[in-house]
Amino acid sequence: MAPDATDWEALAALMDRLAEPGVGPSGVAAEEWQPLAQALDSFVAAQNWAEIVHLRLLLVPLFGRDSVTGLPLLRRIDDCALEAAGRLGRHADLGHFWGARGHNLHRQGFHKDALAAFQSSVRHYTEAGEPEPALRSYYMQALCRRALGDAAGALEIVETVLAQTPQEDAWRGNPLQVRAWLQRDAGDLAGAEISLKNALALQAATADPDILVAGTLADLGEVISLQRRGAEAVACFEDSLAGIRRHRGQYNRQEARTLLKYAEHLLRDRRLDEAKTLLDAADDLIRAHGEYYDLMWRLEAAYSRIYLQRGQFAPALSKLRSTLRYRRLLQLPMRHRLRLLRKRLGLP
Amino acid sequence: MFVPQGCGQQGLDLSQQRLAISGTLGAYFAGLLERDHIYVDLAGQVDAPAPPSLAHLPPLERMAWALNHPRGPRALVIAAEGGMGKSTLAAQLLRCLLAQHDFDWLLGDSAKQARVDVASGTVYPLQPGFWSVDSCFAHLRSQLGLPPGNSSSTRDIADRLIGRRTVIVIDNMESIAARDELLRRLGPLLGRDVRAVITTRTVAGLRTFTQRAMVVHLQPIVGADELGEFLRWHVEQYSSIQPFMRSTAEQAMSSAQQVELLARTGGIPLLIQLVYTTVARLSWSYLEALPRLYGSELLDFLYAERWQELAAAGPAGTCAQELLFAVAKAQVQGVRVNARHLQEWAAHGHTLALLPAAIDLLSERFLLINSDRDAGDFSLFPSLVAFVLAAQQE
Repeated sequence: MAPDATDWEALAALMDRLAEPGVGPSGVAAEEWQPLAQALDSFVAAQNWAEIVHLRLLLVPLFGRDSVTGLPLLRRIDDCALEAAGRLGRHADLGHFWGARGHNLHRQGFHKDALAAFQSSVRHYTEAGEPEPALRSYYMQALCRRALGDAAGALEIVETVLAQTPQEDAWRGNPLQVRAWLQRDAGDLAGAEISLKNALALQAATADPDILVAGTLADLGEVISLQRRGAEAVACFEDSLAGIRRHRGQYNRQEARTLLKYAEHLLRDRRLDEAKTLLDAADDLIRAHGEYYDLMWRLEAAYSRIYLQRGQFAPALSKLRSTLRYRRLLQLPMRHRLRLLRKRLGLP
Repeated sequence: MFVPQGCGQQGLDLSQQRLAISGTLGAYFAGLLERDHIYVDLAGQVDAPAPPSLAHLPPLERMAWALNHPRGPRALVIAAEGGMGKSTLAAQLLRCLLAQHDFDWLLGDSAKQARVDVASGTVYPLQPGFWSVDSCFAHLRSQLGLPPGNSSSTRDIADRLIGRRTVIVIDNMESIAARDELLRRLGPLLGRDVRAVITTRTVAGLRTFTQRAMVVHLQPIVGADELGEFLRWHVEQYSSIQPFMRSTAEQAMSSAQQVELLARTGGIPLLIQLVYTTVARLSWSYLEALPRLYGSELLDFLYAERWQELAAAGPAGTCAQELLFAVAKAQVQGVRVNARHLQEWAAHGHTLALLPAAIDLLSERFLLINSDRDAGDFSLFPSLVAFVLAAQQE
């Protein structure tokens, strides 16, 4: 169905439908995307750059959530929007689009490309005279640096951002969460727990807290689990899943992330069958549409650990091979790769 | 019973898998998985070999046993010419296996008949054999969350499948070029936990593979009892959109009519459905006037005959032809067509007023199947898709 060039109402209605909780982009058939494809093609053919930017802005909810960002059509729209905004000199939009691209690349595990995208975002927001979103894109570079093994660089960014963010600003919960990850990486579990609880208190006060809080709860559950307080950890994981499932279909990656951490907790308790059930559920959530390779290798590593603990060495080796295949794709640094891998496999 | 009675009769809720399955196995196959009561079990129709100890089981149970048994055949090949119901039988089997949680994952690919440029909507018919082995495995990789691979090794796929009971479906394998290469790459993936269900019009040239597989042949309907049961099922399924069938169904068919219907259609289920629908709409004399064609030639004739009828049916008929093309194009793209989709299509083409009449023309000719009276779920038989796309090219 080809909409008119100005049939924005139909396209907006389409976006509302794709964003419905309980439906989600994965739950609708390929036909639903056709109007978007045809609209884009007509705008490109007419070199109507403003309409291309308008179309991309309509898709902000889809790009902001994380269930189908691997779809070729969405990538194409994003590419065209970047070119269009560049031609129009719309630096604020460029800052936004590069930032969103950085978020998706980071979620997929392409941290070097994500870092470059966030750096572009900062430049354009600065050019547009928008310091606050520029700071947020700068902050996201900390996540990429940490993933690439540069803990010191990540911490420097986090502390710089915290110093520039007022104490009462609810967004402060985000850099606090990353500080917690760095503390956990360094073995400071008690410090990480405090940071995460502070982050939760701030995030709960935001306008739409469910997903932010769910992600932090999953991290808190992990840190508490590592301190061997099982019941508290499970409560965190269950609360996290409950929050995400209020938006079923829209945040599959987040749900899979929580399930993975929950499974790792169960692995620590040698509850292997229960852990595998959660891993299977996580796998089913993300395998088809997001290209979330960063999560895929963690899933495969967890599977490998299960088979290892069961004494099933052949499947353990297969899953280890799969893990390494994904990590090679993501070009993760070798030393950092091995350290994280040992941790994931429960090896000394 | 190994498999409960009625196993597979209820449709599956594809839910979050709908986009993935419709995009790879196609909207027609996805629809078969989701609709209720797609299949009627007729004596003698399914020739599924079994060891003597299992010979007493109905064919569907033998097939389920084969795929479930640890030492059973790694692949099941359903072979028959077009219109015999290969995809329907495959879908019924899969529904049963998945409903019983015998398998975790359903992956697969359906060899397409045409390619549609998503942006422009242009349809490019594909020559038989175009759909390649590489594209088939690319689809499998994407369904598994694997990055695209360009080597012929399937080790990455095999590693992903560890620990998940999986059935891989290859629908319409005859459309794939280098079938030997496909089977060569597929073979190492199959094992105790990973099985394949393959539908194809011919097993010629697949001797090495089929020696290790279970080959199921579909036989034409030959008996009056089976014909009667099949037609009762057909009327039950479609009389809501073809009410004229009920009055024909209420009059018992004479032996001569049964014999003639089977002879003219060769006992091929789709041909029986097409011809019987026309007989119900017109009269039994239609049967006598049918040319003596068989198999795919008769199928093409019947489609061409209906196409001409639509052309002669005024604006509603023209709308119906265009509607067929729109649905065929959507089906090739892997989309499902619901009532809202058709209304939007008609509104865009300024034919909204003609839509009900167009749908009636198509339904009464058994050209458009609607499996959901509420929201609408429209599809065409794959053979009709090929016919319509070819007709549009002329």
